Amino acid sequence: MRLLIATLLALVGSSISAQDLLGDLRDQGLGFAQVTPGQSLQFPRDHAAHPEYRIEWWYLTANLSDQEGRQWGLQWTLFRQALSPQQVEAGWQSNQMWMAHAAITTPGGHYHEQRFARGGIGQAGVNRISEDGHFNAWMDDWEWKSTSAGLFPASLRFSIGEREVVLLLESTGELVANGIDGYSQKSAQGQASYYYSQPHIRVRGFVNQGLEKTDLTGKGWLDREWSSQALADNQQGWDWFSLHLDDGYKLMVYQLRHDDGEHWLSGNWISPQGETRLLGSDAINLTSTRSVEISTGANQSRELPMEWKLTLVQQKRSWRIRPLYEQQWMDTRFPYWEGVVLVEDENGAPSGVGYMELTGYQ
Amino acid sequence: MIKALLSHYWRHPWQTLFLGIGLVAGVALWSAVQIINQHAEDSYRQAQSLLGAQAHYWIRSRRDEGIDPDTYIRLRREGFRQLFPLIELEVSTAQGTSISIIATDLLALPGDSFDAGDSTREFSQTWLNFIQPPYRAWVPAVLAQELGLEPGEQLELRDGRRLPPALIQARAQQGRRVLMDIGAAVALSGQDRFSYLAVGSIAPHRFDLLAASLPDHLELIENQQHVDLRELTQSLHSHLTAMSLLSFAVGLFIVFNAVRFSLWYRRSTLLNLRLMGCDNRLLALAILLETLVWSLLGSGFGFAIGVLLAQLLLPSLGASLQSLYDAVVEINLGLSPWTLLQAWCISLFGLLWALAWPLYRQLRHSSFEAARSENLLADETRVRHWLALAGLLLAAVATIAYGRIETVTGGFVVLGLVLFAAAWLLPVMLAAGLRLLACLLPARLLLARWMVSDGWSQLPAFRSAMMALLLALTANLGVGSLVDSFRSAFVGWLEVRQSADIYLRAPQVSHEQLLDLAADGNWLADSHHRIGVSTRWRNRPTLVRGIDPTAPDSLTLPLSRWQGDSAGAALQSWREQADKVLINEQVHFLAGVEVGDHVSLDGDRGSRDYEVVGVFYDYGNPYFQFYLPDQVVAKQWKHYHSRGIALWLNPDNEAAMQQAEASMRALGAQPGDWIARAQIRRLSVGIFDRTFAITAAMNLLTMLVAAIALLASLLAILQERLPQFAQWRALGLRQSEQLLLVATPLLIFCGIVWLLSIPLGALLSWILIHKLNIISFGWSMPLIWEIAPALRLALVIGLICGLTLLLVAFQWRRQMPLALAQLGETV
Amino acid sequence: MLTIKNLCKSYAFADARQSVLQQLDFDMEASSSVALRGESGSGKSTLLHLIAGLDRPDSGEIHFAGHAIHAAPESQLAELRRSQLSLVFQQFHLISTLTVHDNIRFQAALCGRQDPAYESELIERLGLADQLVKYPQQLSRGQQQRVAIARALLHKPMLVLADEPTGNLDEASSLEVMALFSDLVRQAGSSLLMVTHSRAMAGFMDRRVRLHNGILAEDE
Repeated sequence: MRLLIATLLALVGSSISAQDLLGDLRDQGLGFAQVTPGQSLQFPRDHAAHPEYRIEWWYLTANLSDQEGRQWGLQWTLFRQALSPQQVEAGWQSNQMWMAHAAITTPGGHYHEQRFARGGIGQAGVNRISEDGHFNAWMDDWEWKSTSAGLFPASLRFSIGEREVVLLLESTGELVANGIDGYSQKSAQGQASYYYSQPHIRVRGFVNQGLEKTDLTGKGWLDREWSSQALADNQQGWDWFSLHLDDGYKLMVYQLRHDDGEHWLSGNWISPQGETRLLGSDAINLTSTRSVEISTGANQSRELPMEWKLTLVQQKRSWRIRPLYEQQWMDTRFPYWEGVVLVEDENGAPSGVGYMELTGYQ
Repeated sequence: MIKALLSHYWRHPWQTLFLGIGLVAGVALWSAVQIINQHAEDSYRQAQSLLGAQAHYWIRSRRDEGIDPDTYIRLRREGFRQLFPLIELEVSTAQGTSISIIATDLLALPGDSFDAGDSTREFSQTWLNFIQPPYRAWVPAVLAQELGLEPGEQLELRDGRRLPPALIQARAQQGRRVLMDIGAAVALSGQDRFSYLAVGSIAPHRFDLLAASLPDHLELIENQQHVDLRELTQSLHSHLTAMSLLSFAVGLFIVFNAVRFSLWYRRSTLLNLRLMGCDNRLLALAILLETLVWSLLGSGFGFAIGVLLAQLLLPSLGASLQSLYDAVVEINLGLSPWTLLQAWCISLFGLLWALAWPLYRQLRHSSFEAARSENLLADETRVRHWLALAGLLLAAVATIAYGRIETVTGGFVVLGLVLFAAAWLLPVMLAAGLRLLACLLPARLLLARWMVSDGWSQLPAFRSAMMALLLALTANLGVGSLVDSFRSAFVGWLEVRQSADIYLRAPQVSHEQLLDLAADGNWLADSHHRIGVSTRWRNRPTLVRGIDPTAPDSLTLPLSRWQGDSAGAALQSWREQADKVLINEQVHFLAGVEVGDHVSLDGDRGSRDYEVVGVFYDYGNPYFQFYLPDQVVAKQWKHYHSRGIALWLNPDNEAAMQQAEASMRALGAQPGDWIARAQIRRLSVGIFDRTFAITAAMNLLTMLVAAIALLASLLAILQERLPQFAQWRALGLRQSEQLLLVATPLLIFCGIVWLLSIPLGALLSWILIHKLNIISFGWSMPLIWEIAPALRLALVIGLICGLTLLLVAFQWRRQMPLALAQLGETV
Repeated sequence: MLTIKNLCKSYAFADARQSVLQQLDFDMEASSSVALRGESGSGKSTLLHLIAGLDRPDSGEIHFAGHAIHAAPESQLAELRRSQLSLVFQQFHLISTLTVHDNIRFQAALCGRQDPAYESELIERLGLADQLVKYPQQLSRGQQQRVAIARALLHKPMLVLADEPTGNLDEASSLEVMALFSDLVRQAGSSLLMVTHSRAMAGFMDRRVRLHNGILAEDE
């Protein structure tokens, strides 16, 4: 469940306020292909775009450190949207729209960039596996280029302003299907998406900032999701976490906040060996412990929950989650907070790193 | 005390109104032009931007073949995100109106330019509709109004194609163009090549990389439009400024007139105030305060009306600038407080001269001069003579300066000198006219002589109004004759120059193919494929054209000067020798190149010298232009553009036009790629007329201001002389005779002014055509002088006089009874 | 020739109407002369204006030469004024843009009566022969008044209305001008109604009346 749904669906809306945009997210997506249970994911086919669905994304986050041990974070996302149910993919009249986001959390500050492009003319896209046998996702000179039909091993190049990022990505484990075999339910009313992840990515690379080159290594997390509808009527926004724990476990948890306080919680508990356990609302205890006023632009601020307590009931484990630093606001067309978080166990000892995403806060 | 001084304005609301109108009208006309000029200048400054995005460089095909989308995508994927594609199209509506289309990919605009023109940060349905079939055509409100286009309507083109549904909306720097998605333009034109790419702000090292990445057939050109436009259009704006200053001057005459009247009435007030012990310093302060109040009122209202006026005039001027100079002028007016401040300064300055100074003089003399009203006639004669002397002096200065005119501003200064010399000499002329008429009238026509001689009493009151009228008439006739001369020269020139039946401009159609195809039918009589190179010469945009020396239009090329015995001989030597060149008048007049001079042109294969053998007329072209035989251009330049093919149809073949169109279509040309002679002529003349629409409007408004001056003077006369009129009524004068008494001098004066304005107008247009036009635009034309406009103006003056007399008669009916009853009372 | 009955005229002042003439009756014979005296503001000039049709009465009737002045339209009044009436004012009211000669002939020219012999005589008697080509403002006041008199008499009107005709002159020239004036009026066969303060001037007239409290009474 990622923010981009909102951002790109904003494209469809004639409305302006974020509340209204979320309203568009609740659109039933009539005429588009629908997400149904019992469809098994197939690879490499499903790495490529699904233009018959309304929204789709390729979403990478990475927690990295430099040679001095300082924490860095990277985020790179390619987002696709179909503007109409009619399938017109090629040429200027293509109904496919692309957006890309990139952000970098450095010891010196947080930077981001967004881009847009229309489909059909080759400026942005994710190629069909059949074309040259290699997975390739790009917008202008931002590019994910795999040496195989799968997603990995791959190189990823992008830039944020004058900062240039070059990464080598290798998977160290299997892909993980979220929900039930990749069918991820988003509400009791039946909203759902196809959703798989690769939480086991070894990342090596460097960032050029002017004349200064910094080598980085660390762990990445890729999310792939597509759907034609997303939020239920009573859902305001969401809080999403992807955590790399020091003991080798990976944890994905999200909370869709409901008007009545009965939030929809879901997650995936992934062992170092790649075994997954679907977590339902009863299995997760997520509470915010501290809210902070974050500056979101000139003379503007929003109050956001910056520190959280997360408990997995069955696993009897509990963590405190706080941001590396608070100013990781994404001042994009649909603004939200996303950035590097640090994980501590009950005793306050560092026990992991990850990414947090907060949307729908006014 | 101030109340005592100002009470005059309450007691004579008419004169107050006139003072106000004069001031407001003057300021309004001046500030309207100022606002337009300022606005145009701002637009030129924005010429480094396009549709809200920066455009510092252009990428163009060297051979005018457009740009392949694959090249664009490749450059984008190499990281040149500063690039965005553009397609420009010219289409004709079903009604024959020409419209420009600009198309781009809004999503590809670099940086934050995305947001330019949108009030929200979000995408909206508007954007989605824009980029998705059936697309939308964003039409600026003014253009939509002109075309009578409703939102959602699909404008029909001459060939039956339709534009996407209209949305009344515009982006920054869209000007009068229709904006649509590039996908829509591709669908409309049936070809997917871009006209050019724009390059936004780019770092120097990236620029070098970009230059290196470009394929050979593309070139990277700096966008110098903001510099070029300012230079090219400067003359036009100077013309407008001069006209607005003239209007302001005419407005000031009204103020002057109203002030003269107010002085008359406030003499006693001033005297009383002084007797009551107000010292001069205090009175001067009061007068200054009065001036200040008037200047604030005048500039405030004048500016407001000026804004409205500017809004009315801007669309046609914007259209002209776009068609003549490719200058995109924003349709929505931007206002700067600076202009308002200027308006206030100029009105304050005018008032200090026309209101404060006369008042102050009155103040200093009021004590002893009030009693000597019988000396007024003598005073009047003295004023007349001084004015005449000053006028003669101005005329002398103008004569001396005439030979030394070098700049546009200098030219207008001379024009101003001539006009004011004439205006100041006018009172003497009017007096002479009265004297002459008095001599001519037989002694026994006592009443007639009386009516003429009464002119002496009216002359002081009419002096400034007549000067204003003279200025307005002269300007009207002079500028009118300029426009007429230009129009006739232009139309005649079009006739000769655009002699082909069809002009085809389609890069995909080659001349050879067309000739091959034409060989099968008998529709083509002759053809002319012209090539050209766009370059800069002496830092001005310049066209070097390669033309077929034996084509019909080359053989009859109209020359204004030539080497040797005849134009024909000069053309022949140009045809036969590769080192001869023809230049347009702009090169001759603006760059000072004479026949026989040698000019050096930089080709791709080095620079070469050519001898100038002739100068051709090139009306309306702001650029320098050189004509070389096509062989020479092809030899000297590697990359030249096709500048289109001119086709002469077989006059004996009635179906020639249909066959020609079919052939062009067969070769891949789209309707709209060619244009027929009749249409090109209609378009050109349309552009011409639109360009001068603003001139006509300014002329009309100036006439209106002069008419108000006349009315104000007449009413002032009425007020001042009411007791006198009453006396004559007591002698048994009929009402009609009395009206005749007022009308006769008025008509005499107007007649004299009209007669004077005819030669003066001719002089004005002579200077405009033979000096200013050449300095400003670099082209010449014969002066055409006709009597019809002067007769029309006579009619207008007659109407104005009739109207004002009617008003006077009406006023009399109201005021005469009281004046009669007060007759004989001691003053 | 002139008959006035029940003539009333009042003026509006600040906030009240002030009655000037109250049911005034007056008769005047042809070829007679009457001096009209009265205090300042008693309505002497008003009466003159009403007779000349320059002002309208509130009520009452004025009959002159068979015309009902009180009811006549403006055009008819203009005709009467130009041919049968003459007005002579203290300020002369000469036309500054015309010569003395033209000024003299002005009213005669208006009504189209030409009598060169009488014209020469008038000019001769008024002593204006040397001044004819001059302009009025070049003459002395006495001369200007003579021009005004000549203008008033040249067309031989039925009635001359004079309002302090010598008010602007010193006493010596007043008497001289007045003697000449009354003589010329008599010679022309016109009547003269003259407003004056001066007992001496009134002495030149056949009859003297005094206006007091809006009513006329014979004056001694």
